[in-house]
Amino acid sequence: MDATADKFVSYAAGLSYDDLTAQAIHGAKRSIVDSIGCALGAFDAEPVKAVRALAQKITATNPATLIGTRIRSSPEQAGFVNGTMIRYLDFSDDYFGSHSLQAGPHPSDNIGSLLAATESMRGNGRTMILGTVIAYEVCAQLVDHITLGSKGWDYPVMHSAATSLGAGKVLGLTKEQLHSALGLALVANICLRETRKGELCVWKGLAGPNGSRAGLMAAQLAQAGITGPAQPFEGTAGFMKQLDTPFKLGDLGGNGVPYKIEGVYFKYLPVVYSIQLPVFTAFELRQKLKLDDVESIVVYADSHLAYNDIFSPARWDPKTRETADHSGPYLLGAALVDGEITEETMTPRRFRDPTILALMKKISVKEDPVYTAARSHTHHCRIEATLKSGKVVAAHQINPKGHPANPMSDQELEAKFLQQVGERLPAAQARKLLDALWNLEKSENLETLLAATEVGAR
Amino acid sequence: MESKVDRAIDPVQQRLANYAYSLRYEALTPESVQAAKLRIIDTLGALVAGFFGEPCQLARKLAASCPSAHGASVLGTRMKTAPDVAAFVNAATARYVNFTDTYHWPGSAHGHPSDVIAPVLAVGEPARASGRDFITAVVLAYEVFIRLADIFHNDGFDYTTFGCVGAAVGAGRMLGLSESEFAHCIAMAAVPNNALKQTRIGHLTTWKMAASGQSGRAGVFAAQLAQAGMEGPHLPFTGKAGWCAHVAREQFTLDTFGGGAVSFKIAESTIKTRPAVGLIIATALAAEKLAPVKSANGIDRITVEVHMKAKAASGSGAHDWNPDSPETADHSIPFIVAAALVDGTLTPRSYGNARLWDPDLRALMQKIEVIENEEYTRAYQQVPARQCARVTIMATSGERQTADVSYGKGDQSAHSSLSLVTDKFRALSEDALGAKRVNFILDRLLNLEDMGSMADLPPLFTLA
Repeated sequence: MDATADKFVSYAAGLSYDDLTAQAIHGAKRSIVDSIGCALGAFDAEPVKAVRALAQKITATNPATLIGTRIRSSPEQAGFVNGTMIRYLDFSDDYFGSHSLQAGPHPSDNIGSLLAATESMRGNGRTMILGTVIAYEVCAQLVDHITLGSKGWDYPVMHSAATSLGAGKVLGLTKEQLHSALGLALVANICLRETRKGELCVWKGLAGPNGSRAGLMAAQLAQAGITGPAQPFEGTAGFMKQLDTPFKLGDLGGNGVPYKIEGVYFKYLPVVYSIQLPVFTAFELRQKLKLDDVESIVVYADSHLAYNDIFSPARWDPKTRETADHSGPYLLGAALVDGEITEETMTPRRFRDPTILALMKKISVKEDPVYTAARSHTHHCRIEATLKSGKVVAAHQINPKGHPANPMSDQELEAKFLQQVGERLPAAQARKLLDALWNLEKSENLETLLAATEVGAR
Repeated sequence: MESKVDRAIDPVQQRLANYAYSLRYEALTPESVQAAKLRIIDTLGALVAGFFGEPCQLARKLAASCPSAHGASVLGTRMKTAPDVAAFVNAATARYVNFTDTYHWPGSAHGHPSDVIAPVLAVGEPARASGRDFITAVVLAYEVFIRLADIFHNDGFDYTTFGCVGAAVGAGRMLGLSESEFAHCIAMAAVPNNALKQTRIGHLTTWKMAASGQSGRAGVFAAQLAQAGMEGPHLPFTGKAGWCAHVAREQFTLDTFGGGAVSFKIAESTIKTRPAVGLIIATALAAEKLAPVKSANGIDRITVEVHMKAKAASGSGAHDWNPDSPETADHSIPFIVAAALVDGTLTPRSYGNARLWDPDLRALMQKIEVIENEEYTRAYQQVPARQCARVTIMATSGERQTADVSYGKGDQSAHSSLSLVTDKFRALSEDALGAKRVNFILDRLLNLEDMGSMADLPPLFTLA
C-alpha cells in the first residue's frame, strides 16, 4: 500500500477531458503554444541537430514527428528531440512551489514526450490536452511538496513521474498499468543536481527532457505488461526515504480546486526565470544613472534568488552559453550595459565583453527577508546603486511579466511565438499553425498539426 | 560547442575515462579472455532458457514496435531494433531465469555483472566489431562494474545504478569513443540513471528483470549521446551534488584496475550452479543431498540454518512462505529448499506455474523454518568469505537427517570451469536449439577471438 502513488494513479485514471475547466484547457493550450514556439526557435541549435540525427536512424511502427520536420522516429526518441528543442533556449515555461529553496523545474519539459505519445497512438487534441493537464498537475504537486536541489538531487525524476502518468493516460493504460508506470518512472531515474552546478554543460538542457523520455518509456513498459515495484514512494527503499522527501499530497486539481497548469510562469525574456525580475529592475535602474558613475551595485532579493546557483562563484566569469544564461551577475551586467537581452546576449561577443565583465565585479546580492516572506504570492527585487558621489539610486519591481499575478496575454504569447519562429516559417504557415494550436481541442490527430511545423515546407 | 576552460577535474571520471579509452585486447591476460568467453556463453544460455518466458515475450513486443534494419538483433529472433531497445530486451531476457552470474560478497554491493553483456553486444553488432573488440569491451565493462561494486555500500540504491556505468563504458568501447567522449558518456550514465533498491524489496515483480535491461539501455543511450557530441556534467562523481556525496554516500578513488600485474575482476564473478538468488544457492545444494522427499507426511519440521544476511533477505518475510511469482520464489529459502527436496534439483522449470502452485510443495514449505547460524554469519563476514547452509529434516518418528554445504570465494573460480559452463549451457539450450547447433555455437563462442564481426553472433541463436 502506497497512499501517495495510489492517489496520483487514481487521479490520472479517473480524470477525463469533460472534467477539465475552460481555464485548464486554455492553460494547456498556452503552454503548448509557448513550447512549440520555443522548439522552433531552437530548430538550428547544434545539440538539437545532434539528437535529431540520432533519432532519425530509428524507425517505428507507431512513429512520432520531430517538430519542424517530416522526420518520424520512435515515440520516445521523438519525445526526447522535441523536449530538447522546447528546452534548449531556456525560454519555456516554469513552475515554482512555495519553498524558498525550490528551483523551478520546467513543466514544459514534458510536452515533447506527450506530443509524441499522442501522435503515436493517433490521439486527438483533447487527448493531448488531458495528458498535458495531468503531467503538469503531477509535476507541480511534486514541486509544491518536496525540495530536491538542496539535498543534491535534481528534478528530472519529477518529469519521469509526470510523463509516466500523462503519457500513460494518453496511451490508454489501465489503473494497474498506470501504477506500474509510475513505479518504474520513480525508482530508476534518480538524478543528481550536479547537472546544474558550476560551469554548465549541454546536458543541462537535455536532462529534463530525458527525465520525461524515461517517463514515456515507463508508460510503454507498463503498457507492454511489465509490472512495477511495490511502494515506489513509501517503501523502505523508496523515493521518500532515500531522497529524504516525506510528504503528504493535498487536493489535486478539479472539483473546484484550480489545476496547476493555470498557474505556470511564462518567460518573457530568454533567460533563467529567477533573473527575469532583476533584469526588468535593472532596465529601470539603467534609465536613472550613468554606468560610469557607479561605485557598487547591490541586488536585494528573496532567499531563493540570493542563495541561488546563478550567483555561485563559477557564474562570475561565464565561458559557455549555458553558463551565461544562468549567470545572475552577467545577465544584470548585460542588462545594464546593453539595455536589452536578446539571442546576441548569449554569444561570446557579449559574455566576454570587457565592459560587462568589469561592471559585474561591482555587483553583489543580498537577501531581503521581507521579500523571502512574500515569495509564495509576490516576487520582489530592488537594486541599489551607490554612485562615486555617494548618492544611492534605486529601482524596485514586483512580479515580472509572465508571473501568474502579472500574466502574459495570449497576444503577448503569440508575439513571443512569432518572434521565435522568425523567418523559419512563412507568415501564413505560422498563422495557420497558431490557429490550429489555439483550436487544439478540435484537432482530430496530431500528425497533421505537427506537419504544419515543418521548416522549409513547399 | 564549448570553449576551452580551465576547470576542476573529477578524478574518478578521468580515471574511468582513461582506463576505458586505453584498454586493449593485447593487454588482456589469457585468464581474463577465457573468463569473458565463459560468461558470455553462460549469459547467452540463460537468455535461451528465458526466451519463452512471458515477460520476455512482452519485452519483445516493445522491440517489435521499432524495427530497424541497421539496428541490433533481438536475440533468438530475426528481428532487429534500435540498439538501446535491443540492449533492454536482451539483458532483461538473460536475467529472467535468474541464472546469470553474480557478484555477492560482504563489503561489496551485490549485483549481476553479466547484465553488461547484452548492451555491449547490441552496440557491437551494428558496429560490426570484431570478437576481440567485443571481448575487450566485456572485460572492461565487468572491471568497471565490479570495481564500483567494491566501493558501493549504500543499501538504499540498487546495483543497476553502477551497472549502467559498466554498460556505458562497454558500449562506448564498441563505438570507439575518444577519451573525452568517454568522460561525457560516463557522466551522462552516472548522473541521471540512479535506481532505488525498492526494486528488490517485498513482493517482486517483472520489473526486477526489466531493471537490468533498463540500466543497459540507459548505458547504451549515454554512449550514443556522447558519440553525437553531447556533453555531461563536469564533476559527475566528486562534485558537491555528485555521485560520491549522494549515491555512494562516501568519497572514493579508483586506484586499481585490471592489467599489468593486477588481475582482471571478471574472473571473480560467480557462475551460478542453480537458478536462484546467489545468497541462498547453498541452501538448495544442501537440500539436494537429502532428496527425494516425497511429501510433508511424516515430517515434523525442516530447519534451514543460514547466515544472517540470507535469513534477512530470503527467510524472514511472510511472502517467503507464500511466493506468488517466479521473481519472489527464486528469492525464497522455503520455496527453493522445498523444490530441491522434492525434485532433486532446481532448474528454470522449478518456477513454472505447475511447481510454483503445487499443493504438496506448499505443504512442505509450511514445515520449514529458517534460522541464523552465528558460525555461518561469522564465516560469511570473514575474508575470504564462505557461504554455508545446513538443512535438517526432523521426522515425526524422531529420526533426523542432516546435510550441509560450504564454499568460499576462491572455490567459485573452480565452479567457473569450462565443463561447468558448457554443461550448463547444454542443459539450458539443447531443448530449444538441438544438440548439433549447441555444439556449433559452443565452438564459435569458445573461439570468439576469431569471430570477424559480432554481426555473426546473433544469427547463431535464431529460435523463432
